[in-house]
Amino acid sequence: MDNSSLHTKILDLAIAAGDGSFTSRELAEAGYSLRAVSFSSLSYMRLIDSIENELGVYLDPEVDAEHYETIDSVAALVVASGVGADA
Amino acid sequence: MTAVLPGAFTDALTRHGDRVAVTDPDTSLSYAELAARARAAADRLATYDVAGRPLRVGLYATNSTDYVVAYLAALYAGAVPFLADSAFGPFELSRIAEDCGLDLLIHAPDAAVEQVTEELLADADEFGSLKVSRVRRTDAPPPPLLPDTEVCRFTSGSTGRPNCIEFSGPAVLAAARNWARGTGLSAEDRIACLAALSNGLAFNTSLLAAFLPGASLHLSRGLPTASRIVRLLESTGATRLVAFPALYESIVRRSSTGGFTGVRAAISSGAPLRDSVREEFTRLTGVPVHNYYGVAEAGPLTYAVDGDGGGLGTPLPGVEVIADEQGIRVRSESMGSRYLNAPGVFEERVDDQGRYRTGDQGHLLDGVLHLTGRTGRLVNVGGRKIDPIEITEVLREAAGVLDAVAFEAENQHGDTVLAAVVAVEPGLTAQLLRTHCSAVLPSFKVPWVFHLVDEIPVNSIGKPSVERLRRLLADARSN
Repeated sequence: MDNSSLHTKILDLAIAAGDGSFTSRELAEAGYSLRAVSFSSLSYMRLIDSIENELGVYLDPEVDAEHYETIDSVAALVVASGVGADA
Repeated sequence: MTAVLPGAFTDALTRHGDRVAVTDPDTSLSYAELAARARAAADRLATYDVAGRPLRVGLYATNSTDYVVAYLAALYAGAVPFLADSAFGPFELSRIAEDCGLDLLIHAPDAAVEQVTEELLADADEFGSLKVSRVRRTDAPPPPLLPDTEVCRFTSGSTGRPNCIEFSGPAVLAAARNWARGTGLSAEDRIACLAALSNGLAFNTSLLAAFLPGASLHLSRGLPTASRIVRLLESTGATRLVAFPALYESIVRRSSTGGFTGVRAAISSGAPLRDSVREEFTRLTGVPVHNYYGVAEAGPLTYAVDGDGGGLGTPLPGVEVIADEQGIRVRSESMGSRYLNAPGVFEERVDDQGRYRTGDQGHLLDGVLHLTGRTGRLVNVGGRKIDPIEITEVLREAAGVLDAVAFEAENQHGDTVLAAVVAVEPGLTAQLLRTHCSAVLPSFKVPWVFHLVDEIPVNSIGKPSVERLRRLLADARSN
């Protein structure tokens, strides 16, 4: 999965985890900042679960809290875990 | 008046000396070690004493062994601990500090407490990773506590001001004893507690209740995702799991089964747990989910012994539950006394027989309590009660907002959420409204979704039509 695909995948998972509380357009307008769209703790739980389910990566939100603020930083965390970007 | 809780804890900690009392990912304390650390921390707190009245100590932190040490230390020092939800934001924290006349605040090093504190007390090493700060004084004298108040906890309140519930020592002790007795808690139990200790679920089921019979309490940190829970269960050999519905949903999402071999009971409270989640959780793990019903003001009330999902169980020892056309009213040995910062409000909710009106509706079937709804306007979102009127008022204060209505809705999973339909001037976006709300409300009170309109739909008498608002929301989501 290249960087762009991974970004899109994380974006899709984040939108799903938000459970309709914001749209992809709103997230884009917020600079893809999850904090800016008030991503709730429940949404973070869903996102972490779905990343683990679909990408096989366990992310620990306490250890890496600062990496959960944007779609890009979450994607970078996934890459750092050895999954994803091959381009 | 002689305090009850210091003696109760001392007795329990002495009796179970070498057994494991409490652990977190970094620390394990036996009962004897917990007693020693709490005594040392109490001695430190005593040096900060204020003349003429008990010290008021706010605890504003997530779960840890240090949290338990700090709580016990406050009791041992003759102080009154005020257990504040760590999800409260600076706005609510400053109201708590002012309303309740806090003297000290015990908090995480990186907690945003600058608004309410004036001095970090650098010599307080006895509290481990937690810090102790002196709370900024105001000119107003602190409101007097009732003579028998030993602990204060909070509800989320309805005016942006968390209501502070005063509890006597006997009420806290009765809650713990009745829970331990009513649920068969024993010294062999190892409780994995994923709920915040400031919350009634954990406070009443996992703190003093765990220590009375000599059980061990195991705490986690951060978001209770399925993988984290499995690790906690595996490392502790837990026999009980105490958590909110979101955690059970996470386990089901991940299809996690590891770590549940020794778990005999899972306890869920707060928001209702969907039957589909309960059934799938039990199918995956083999562990029954026991419902528990409690309200912040009256403590733990019922427990479902059989864990078959059929209702919220039968009343715990010392609890009377009435369910009729007036809604659910309860009388318990663990009742709070009043709201320190909302005179008369608690008393208005108590009938002439001393029963507290919970605001819930339901019925008793063969002695088992079933909930059907609420009599009041508060919305239960993930176990936290939110007043939509408060949120509506916050929205109306935003620049460019013409009118607003916040109301209860459901997300696609059927969970209760708070939604807002807002009539706005051109240019105002949902993101700006979200930012506005986030600045003055804790995260759990920010509406789940904002729907912007030119005009709020009203009914024939000019009031907002909730039915039409819900339809608007449904149409927007389907599009």
